[in-house]
Amino acid sequence: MSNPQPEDPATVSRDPQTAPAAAFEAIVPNRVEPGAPITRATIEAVLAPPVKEPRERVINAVDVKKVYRQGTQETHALRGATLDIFKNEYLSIMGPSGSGKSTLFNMVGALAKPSAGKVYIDQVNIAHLDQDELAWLRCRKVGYIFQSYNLIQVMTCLENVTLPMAFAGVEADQARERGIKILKQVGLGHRILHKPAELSGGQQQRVAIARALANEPEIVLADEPTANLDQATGQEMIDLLVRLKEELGVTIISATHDLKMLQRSDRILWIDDGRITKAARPEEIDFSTKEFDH
Amino acid sequence: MNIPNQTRLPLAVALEIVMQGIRIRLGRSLVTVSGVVLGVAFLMSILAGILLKGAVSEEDAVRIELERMQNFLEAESGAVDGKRLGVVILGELSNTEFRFLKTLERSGVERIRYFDASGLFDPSEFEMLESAQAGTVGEQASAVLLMGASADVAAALPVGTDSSILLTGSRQKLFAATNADISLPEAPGITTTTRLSREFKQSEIEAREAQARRDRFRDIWIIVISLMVTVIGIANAMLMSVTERFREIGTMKCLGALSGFVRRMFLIESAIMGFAGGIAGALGGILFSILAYLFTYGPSLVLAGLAESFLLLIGFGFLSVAIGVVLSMIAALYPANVAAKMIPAVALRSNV
Repeated sequence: MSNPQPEDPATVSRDPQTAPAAAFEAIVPNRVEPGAPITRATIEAVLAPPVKEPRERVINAVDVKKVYRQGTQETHALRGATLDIFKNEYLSIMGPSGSGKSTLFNMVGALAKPSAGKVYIDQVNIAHLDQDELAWLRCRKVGYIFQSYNLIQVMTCLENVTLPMAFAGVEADQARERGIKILKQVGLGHRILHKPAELSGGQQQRVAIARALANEPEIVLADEPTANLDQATGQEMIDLLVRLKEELGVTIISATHDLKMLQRSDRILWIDDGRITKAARPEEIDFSTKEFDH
Repeated sequence: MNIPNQTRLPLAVALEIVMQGIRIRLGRSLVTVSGVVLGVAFLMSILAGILLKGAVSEEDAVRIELERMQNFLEAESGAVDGKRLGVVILGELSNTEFRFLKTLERSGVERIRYFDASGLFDPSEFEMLESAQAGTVGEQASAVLLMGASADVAAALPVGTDSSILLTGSRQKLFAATNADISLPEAPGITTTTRLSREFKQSEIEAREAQARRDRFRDIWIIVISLMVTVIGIANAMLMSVTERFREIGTMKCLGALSGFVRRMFLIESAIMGFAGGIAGALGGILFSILAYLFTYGPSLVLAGLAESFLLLIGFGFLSVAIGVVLSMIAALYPANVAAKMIPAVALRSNV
């Protein structure tokens, strides 16, 4: 097992106070124009370790804390987590239950606001948004995939996929057309009028993926998407997610313990006791250790 | 990035989603609806009962009174079957007088002659009436009846001018039909004068009104209690339904549904179920009370009562449906609020 690498620029934001993406891009070395005036930023950029390619931050969390209060008892779910998530990245989050993994997951998915610290989603601080604006953000910027699919049982596959479009105000005909297209993309073109209960687990999860993609989100949040599936179907789902990531350029954030998912992701975060304890690329990790033995 | 407010969906979308939900979860919906049906049916049966009871007992009282009057008449002057009668019309006939005349016609009298002193009488609705002069109205009649209200009986009555309205036969009898304010005249040739209609004492009337007030109060009390039970029942069913659908609601919120949309969904669902249950309950309630009254009073009285109170009954039906809708929406307020306030992250909990 390798050690945490806090110096890795892809892992931890060097300057948490810097406002989002534009500023960050400016300090990437290959963005420095020859002959540009020498400023503090250009010097920092030259001194900084080189990044392979310019990357745009989609999510920027700075010293995020979350405290749940129940009566007089306080539970610190997050004790100060800082992370960047980049565009078109496939990030996996690992951690035992009660580690704060779900809380962090909720924050980056605009499902909850932090008690302290800042969470920028696409450069917007979600702490400043009201209920309506959060709903707007969830509807258009984030797609959710759940462990138990969470399809609306009373609706057909197509209706499940067009529902978020309806919430986004897309016209019914247009939504229908687009819904059919996405369902074909995930390989369910022949099942559009079936109810979820008539489908297998893998097919249901495909519908859920289609639904998550309905409003062309930048971020897809997947909560243990393969946990309820058998090995082969799980593998298919991972292939599908990776393919969508590459074809559509979405950012995938997934909470998982599935070895196959971890191996396919671009980066893995470990979280424990409300803190990010480790971050690594899959190739730096020895997956044969006991930790991954499920 | 500028974040606008989330799109507010038109009612039609919510309605469509709700209808789907009701159709699929028909079993549960029916249980909730049956609560409304029972509540509204109870309300409606009481309302219809009040209406029918009013109409039926009024009709019943009239019929008893008619029978009594005929018995009284026949006790004084012998059976009317095959006899001749005379009628002096002093003014406009009351409903009871009109029907008494009809009853006499049907009971086998040979002939009825009438003298219209008021000029208001329309004989076209009767079959056996023959017009007669004042002096001949009582010819060969076994009895002469005075009918109709008149301010001045003595002036209207052709007694005294021509010594007799009444004529032949030594045992002439004069009856006032129903009007309490006709003071029965003394006239030559008349052996008895009798009032046929019953007079109610003031205390009797008061006692009856007091009883009606008590009945009304009891009815209202029963209705209020039953409706409260209904509301609580619906609220309970809706709350169950919300709890059952926690994950579904959370998922919808993850997909961008607004709290207001979720709240509206449950209110619409409840209103639809209230409407359906209200209609079924109103029909059921009316049917039930009609059957119950048919059983106790027999078809002819109930049909007469129905004819009289038909419009009011329909009005009460609409009122009951409206009450059903409003009550189930009131019952859904709290559950809908619980649903609306739910945090979307609930959808992520896999074991809810």
